Order: sequence, then C-alpha cells, then structure tokens
Amino acid sequence: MSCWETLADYGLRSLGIGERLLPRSDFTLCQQVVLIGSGMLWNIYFGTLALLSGFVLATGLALAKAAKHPLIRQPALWFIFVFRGSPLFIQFFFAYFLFLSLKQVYPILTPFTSAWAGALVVLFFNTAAYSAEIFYGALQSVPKGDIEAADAYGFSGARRFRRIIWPTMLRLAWPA
Amino acid sequence: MFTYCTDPAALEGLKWLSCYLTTAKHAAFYQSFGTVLLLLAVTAPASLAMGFAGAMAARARFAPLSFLGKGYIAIVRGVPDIAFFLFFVIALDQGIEYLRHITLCPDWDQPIRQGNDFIVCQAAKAPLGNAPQWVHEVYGFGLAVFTFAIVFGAFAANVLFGAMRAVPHNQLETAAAYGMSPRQIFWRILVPQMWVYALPGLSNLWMVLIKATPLLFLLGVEDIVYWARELGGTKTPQFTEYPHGDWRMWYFLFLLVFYLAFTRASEIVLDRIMRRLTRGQATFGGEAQRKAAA
Amino acid sequence: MKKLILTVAALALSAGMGMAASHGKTIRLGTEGAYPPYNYIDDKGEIAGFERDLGDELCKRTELTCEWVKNDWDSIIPNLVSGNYDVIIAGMSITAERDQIIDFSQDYYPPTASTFVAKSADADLKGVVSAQTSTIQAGYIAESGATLLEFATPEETVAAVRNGEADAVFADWDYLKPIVEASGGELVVAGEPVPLGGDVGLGIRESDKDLRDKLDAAITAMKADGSLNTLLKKWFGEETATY
Repeated sequence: MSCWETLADYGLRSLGIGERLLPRSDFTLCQQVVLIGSGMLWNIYFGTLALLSGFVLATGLALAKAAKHPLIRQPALWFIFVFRGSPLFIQFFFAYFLFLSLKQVYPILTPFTSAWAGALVVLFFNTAAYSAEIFYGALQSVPKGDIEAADAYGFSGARRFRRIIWPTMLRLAWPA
Repeated sequence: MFTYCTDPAALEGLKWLSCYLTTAKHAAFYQSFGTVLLLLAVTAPASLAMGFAGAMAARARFAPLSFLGKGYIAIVRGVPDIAFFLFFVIALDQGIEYLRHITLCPDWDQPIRQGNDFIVCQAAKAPLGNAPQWVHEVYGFGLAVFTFAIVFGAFAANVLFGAMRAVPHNQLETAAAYGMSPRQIFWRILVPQMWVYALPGLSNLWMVLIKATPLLFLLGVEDIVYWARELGGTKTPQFTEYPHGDWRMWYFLFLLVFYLAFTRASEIVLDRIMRRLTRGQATFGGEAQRKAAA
Repeated sequence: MKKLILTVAALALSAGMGMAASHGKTIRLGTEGAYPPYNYIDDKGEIAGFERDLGDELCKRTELTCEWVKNDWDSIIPNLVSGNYDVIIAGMSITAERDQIIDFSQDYYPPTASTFVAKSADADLKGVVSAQTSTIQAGYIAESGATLLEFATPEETVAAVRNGEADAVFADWDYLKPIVEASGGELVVAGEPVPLGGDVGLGIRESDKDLRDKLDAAITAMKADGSLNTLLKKWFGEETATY
C-alpha cells in the first residue's frame, strides 16, 4: 500500500469519508502520520463548527444578560453559570446519559446519542457560554457617547444595535 | 447503617433510598469527594508557592535564573493540559524509578527498555511491589498533586509576574529613596501590594483548577468520576442487595451540582477577599470604595 | 525545578528503602472489579465474586499475604508487566497472543461459550455489536464482519444494547446470564453460543517462575480435593462445567 493510497483511504476518515476499518497490522510511518493527522482534522472540524455556531448564540446570551427584564436575564444568567461553573468533562458525561434517557421518551433525539453529535452540542453550548461572558464584558464597555450619538442621528433600536453597538462590541471583545 | 436496613428487598421508597445511599460502597463515593477537596487544598498552596518562586526567578537580575523562570512559564503554558498530565505523570514515575534503579542495582546488565516495557529491578520499583495498598494510593495521589502544582504553578507565576510589574513604580522609587535595600523593598512594599493586582488572575486560575480536578480520573486515581460510573451502572439482584437500572445520569447530575455549588461558593468568597484587599489601594476600585464610604 | 524533582526523587528513594526492610512477602492480586460473577465490587465497596474466593483460598494454601488491587481492563496487562501487581486474576482467557507477553498458570475455569444477547432473538448479528475492548470477544466480532462497538467496561457494552446503540452484545455467557435473568424478558439470547477461547488462568510475569509454580500447585490441589468445583457451583450455578 503506497503512502498516497493511505492518504486517500484514511485522510478524511474522521469525517466519515473513506475506509472505516483501521489497518490492523504493519503500521508504516506514513500510516501513523495520516491517522493522527486525520484525528487532528476532527479537532479542527469540531472547534470551528462549535465556534461559528456558538458565536451567534453568544451574542444573544450577552444581550439577554444585559437586558432589564428578569425573565430574559435570569435564564441567560443560569445558562452561563451552569456551563462556565462545571467541568467540561462532567458536562460531556452528563449530556451523553441525558440524551440516552430522553431518547426513550422522545425518539426524535436519537441522533444526539452518537458520541460526536452529543459532544458537538455540549461543546457548542460551552463555547457559547464562555464567549457570552466575554461579549457581555465588551458590551458593558461600549462608550456611552457612541450610543448617544446614534440616538441623535435617529437610529432605531435594531439598526442602532447592528450598525453601532455590535461592531464596537466585537472590536472590544476581539483580544479576549 | 440503619437498623431497618437488614432486608433491603422488603423496603420501599425513601426508606430503601436511605439504606441504599448509606452502603459502605457509597461511603467510598463520598470519600472520593474528600479526595478532590484534599487535592485542591494541597495543590492550591503548592502551585502558589511554585508560582511565587517562578515569578521571583523570572524577574531576577541574574540572567540564567531569569531565563529559567521565563522558560518554565513559557513551556508549561504552551503545552495543552491534558497532554501534559498524561505525559508528565508517566515520565515522572519512570524518572524516579530510573534514578532508584541506577543507585540500587548497579550490577543490572539488561537494557531498561525492552520493547514497550520499562523494566527496572524489583528493588527500584516505586513504591515497592510488596508495599501495602495505601502506599500505592498515596504515591499515585502524590504524583497527581505534583503534576497539578507544576502546571498551575506556571500559570500562577505568569499572573504574579504581571502583578509585580503592575505595582506603581514610584512606590518602589520612594522606598529606595528612604534608603531601603532591594530585599526590603521587595518584601515590604512590592509583595504586600501586588496581591490586589494578582487576585483577579489567581481567582480565575482557582476556577480553572476546580474544573480540572476530574482529570484525576485520567491519572487512574479512583475519584468521583470512577465511583459515579461504578455506582450508577445497572446492578443485577444476584450481586447486590440494592438492584437498580442505569442510574448514571443521576450520579453525573449530582457531580454537576457539586461543581456548580463549589464554584459559586468560591466566587462569593473570592469577591469578599477582593473587596478587603482593595481597601485603601490607589486603584479604581479602591477609590470607589473610599467614595462610597465618605 | 530540576532541584525539586531531584529532592522528590531522593525522598521517594529513602522512603522506599525504609519500607523494603519492614515488610515481608506480599503478593498483589490485580483484578477488574466489574465482571460479575468473576469479580465485582459488592455493597461494602470491596472486591467480591468467584475470583475473590478463589484468590483468598490460593493465598491461604500457599501461605502468602495477599492484597487486592483494582485496575482497568484495558491496562491490566501493561500494569502487570511494569510490576504494579504480581498476578492478574480477572477471568482472563489463555490465548497465544497474551502468552507471548505474560505467563499463565494452569486453568482454573473450563472453556466457556460466548453468546450474543439482544432485545429480540432475531436481532441482526451482523449489524452493530458491542464488546469490551481487547477481549477475545472483541477480536471475534472484528473478524466476523459485524461493526464492532467497543467499550472500556463490560457494564457499558450491555447498556449500549439496552438503549439501542448496539444491536447485540457479545460476551461470556457467565457474565450475561444473571443480567438476562434479571432483565425480565427485556434482553434475550440471540443466535447460537460460540465456543470461544481457551481456559481461564492467572496471569503472571514471565520472570516470576517461582510464584507460578506455587500457584499451580495450589490449583492442582484444589482441583484434586473438589474445593474448586464447590466454588464453581456456588458462583456459576449447579449446571456449570466442573473439573
């Protein structure tokens, strides 16, 4: 088996493309590099996916935490507290078993019991909670003058947020 | 535990549960929470000490020492925790055995590495093969504590190093002008004042440390994760007086609640300490406190 | 930092030497503690089961002081080789592959059949089958063409069938029997039993010939006076194979 064939067969294995069974004997150096590399691809894939989707949720959570109405603020506070206050390791275990038992009642949840989907959900919530905290901090430090100026120019609520507050918030949050 | 627990099969509801939760096996589970707390209690001061030494070394005027301190901080911070935990514990264990091997068995003629095996003479095993079980447990726990201290020491060193530099420079200059020696300036002016700058970083680190404790499971110490899995698994009537289904979810929910309560309590305590340390400091927070009081 | 490591090493060194003098011959028995009826953790939190009884009896006959150690299945052989304990007593079948790395005593349990257990008797045995990592059963499934789903503990392999992650579980019948009986019809045997692997024996380091001979002699004696059969019947039921 040439190295090129190995790469073709196993390079994207972690994404579910190519051979499923691992080579069983005679590991060549090339195979080791490809297989470990493929596992790393998995890490990157997970990380990006969780980060991208978590980003949207994080913005929503940060806004909810800054909201005045307790019915909006409290759930956001709890969500952030639960996911930031406990170890990711325990969250993974708990979510896995939770999905398993929920599946008995709601068969619709079946896909989440496969290890990768469950892990993605937990990772997604986890990154969202952590970045929400960062965004919240950034939101608090958006200069008051910017908002007043936006009001003076007659920006409406949603437009003011999209054009003024959000870009400033991202700029402030970027280093973190 | 209770007198009515002699025949659990006849019990129901809360009574059954009260017996179930007080078996000797559950006592081991509760004890493992003690292990986690003990780990934290030992590791936190140890890493703080490591961090203090590291920060002192890093800002030393003697170049090699400063290089050593900065290198320690950079290397440990640059490597992912889990990789460090898995690799370092094995390396440390084998390192100790290797040193003992060289001193205790000078006339050993076989190679130490035979294929995958790491073989040292019997007298060099750490702890000795015939040592009682508790020695093995303490040894494993000690290795874990040491590894945690090294890793978190580096992070603490980084925080303290930054905090030492954040103390206003004119304070130190004033002290020098009063004729204090560098040693006096360090211990009497710098160290008492740096804590307020270090505390936000250190409390963050403490939270990370709490959340890193389930890694003990990866190090093979029988910790809360091990017992939660063992106790939560399905139990058949033949091998236990308390058969039940798959309860792992509830055990992990309990662990989740434990960690949440613990981090919340830490937050409250750390907030108090911060408020106490801020008092009278020439910082934004200190100024706000002064105004509020006035 | 280096100095610190050296100090710790020196401490460990002196502590170890102190202990060497004060303790006699202790044999450490390593087991998994998650494989009833062979070995499991009872309500008192102690190791129990067939192998606990057998191990204690062997220690009494050989006049050795014994100590029980729990170790995960997947690292049970490496930890024996590196000397963390002296004997593996964990329902381990004697295979040629394992025999290359460690030594085995004579068998103390006759060859057993492995079975598939599933939620229905006509389950797809070529579908997803769960088995414990690095067991002879896992090897068999990997060869058979079914999709192998591995777990670190036997408990998890059965749980996977209960919650529908696997179509069937493949393991020792002795392990599955009490579970099937207690499940109240939820789990049933599927397909034919497969006679798999050899006898079960004690795992011992290759260099420990003395210990192996001692334990071998004790097992022979237990076979001869029927006490091994009594133990087998106590833990595996009246109809189990005996010597």
